[in-house]
Amino acid sequence: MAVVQPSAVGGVPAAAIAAPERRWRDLLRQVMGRPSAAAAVVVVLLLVAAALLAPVLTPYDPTHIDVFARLQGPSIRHWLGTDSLGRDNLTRTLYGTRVALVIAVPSVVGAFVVGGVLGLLGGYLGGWLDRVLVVVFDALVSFPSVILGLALLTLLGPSVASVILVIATALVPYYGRLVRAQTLAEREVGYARTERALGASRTRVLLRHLVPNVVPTLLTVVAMDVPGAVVDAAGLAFLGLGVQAPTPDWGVMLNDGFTNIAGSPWGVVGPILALVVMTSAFLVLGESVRAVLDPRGPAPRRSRQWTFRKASR
Amino acid sequence: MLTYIIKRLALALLVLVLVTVLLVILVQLVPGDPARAILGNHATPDLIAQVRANLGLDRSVPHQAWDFLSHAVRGDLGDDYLTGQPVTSELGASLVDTAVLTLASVVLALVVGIPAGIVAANRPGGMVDAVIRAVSVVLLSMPPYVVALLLLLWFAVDNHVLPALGAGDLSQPGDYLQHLVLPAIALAVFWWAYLARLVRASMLEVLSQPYVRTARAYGLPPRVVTLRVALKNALMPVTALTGLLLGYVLAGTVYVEVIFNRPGIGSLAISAVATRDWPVVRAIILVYAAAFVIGGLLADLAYRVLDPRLRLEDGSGVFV
Repeated sequence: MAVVQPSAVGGVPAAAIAAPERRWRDLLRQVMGRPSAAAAVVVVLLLVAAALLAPVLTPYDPTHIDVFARLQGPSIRHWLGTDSLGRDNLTRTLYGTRVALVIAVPSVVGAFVVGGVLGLLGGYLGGWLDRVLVVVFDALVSFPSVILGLALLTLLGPSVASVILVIATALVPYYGRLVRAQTLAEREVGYARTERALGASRTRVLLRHLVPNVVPTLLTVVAMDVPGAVVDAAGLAFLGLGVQAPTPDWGVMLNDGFTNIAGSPWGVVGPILALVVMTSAFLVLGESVRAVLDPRGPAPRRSRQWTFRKASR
Repeated sequence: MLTYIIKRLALALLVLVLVTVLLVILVQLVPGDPARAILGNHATPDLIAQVRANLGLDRSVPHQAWDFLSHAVRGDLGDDYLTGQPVTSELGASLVDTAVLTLASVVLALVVGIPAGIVAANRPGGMVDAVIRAVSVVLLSMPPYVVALLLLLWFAVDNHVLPALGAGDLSQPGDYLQHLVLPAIALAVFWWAYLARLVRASMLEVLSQPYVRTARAYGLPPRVVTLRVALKNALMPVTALTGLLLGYVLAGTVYVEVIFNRPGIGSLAISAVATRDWPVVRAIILVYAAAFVIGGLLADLAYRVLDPRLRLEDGSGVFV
């Protein structure tokens, strides 16, 4: 154990590297203080509840076929109508939340782990590894998952695992760059330099100090990418490249609704609403989190602008 | 500037070579096999070996990579395995349709998004600003396929003001343009919202700069201050995003072409994936990659030309 407590040294305020739980609680309190963010949290919780409680919430089986009730409009029995095989659209939308999360969460987490390790190593060790990683990340960072999916899914064949692989692969360079930039910034901060000067090994600085400081902040960013992954997975499924029928997936539903759009427009309503509600909830939440985390503090935008307008008159 | 251009070109070429090599290596890495994909699960080993030989998959990886690369440079992307036609001849016409759609969407995104941002920044906190802000949350939450499906519902099912299916005929420009409207809107909507927010934020930032205050102090009318003095600098972040915009639109063409039943390399790719026609898929991915790389290259160069500060730092930070 080092003689000097590294966390007390250097220009870093102790609060910035306080116990992680404190930081999380502070963040949560500040975010929940904003009405729009609180509403967004409620929506996200409702979605998770829908995923968990789907069998309780609906009397129907998501894959139960009833050809006599196909392509119906909304009614008391089927609130969002039925699809081309007479399956209940609302039920499938609710169960679709499960499929969406089961695909999106592992892809985002997996990508963050892989990208994070690469970014930490590149950012901390530097050298040729860093240079190669930067070129590869730069080359791949805007490469969309659909195009990547075309290649991988032709060879692998469509399945849940392939979709997770495709989405995670598309996210890795993005996280790699993010973590690398953070690591570069943290590496030169007082506590890390002090610890190294005290003779700590690279591994120790990396694992004991950089990881705990870099990862939590970025986790909030990463959590906001879940809807993006859901959207990509649904898109691939819509194109017939992802999850396959009869799984109650939003993309599969969109495909069925699209094919039968002339017969009944109700097939696409459920998944579209679900996708838009989920994405906008995360969007609003992400904005609040960013505003709270922004070191410049809440910008007094309106008042500043107002004085300027007055000055210009 | 010249050193920068050379370095940037080298990076672009390197990326393309990397993608080509990756496409060859991918076949080896991934547990699937194009020959088996084409033939299905019940093919005899003899038949698989024969198809592998036809596709050139029995040769060594460097050999394959060199073959693909050297042929691609000469404009030969291989043959469609199912029809035997050269892939390039199948790509030709589709490429034009996709390129036109991409260009139209990018232009439409900029033409609506930037003015929306300027208007919103005009009176921050005002009615117009609040409306644009609220609408943008909804628009930002809609992936291109959702927008396309909604447009399809509205125009193909409910009313028939605009043609919603096919691409029309290039020899009749009016008809072709009409067919272009809905697909281009579907890809531009997200960026209307995104650009409006971006331009609003950067406009407010620029408007609070001392040089803008000076312009106001000189008594220039507000319109001139906003459009002539501030706008140029406020648009810098937009230039930096051009690469991202292009990537989004290109990927979106796949969805939009399928939904609006447009010919194009996106819909061609989907049908090729359905028949597991690896040579076609491979060629299309290379075309997409080339489009990304060229777009990114142009965006970076434009950024340099527009922002003289970056030119001063030549030689450093090319890869960072």
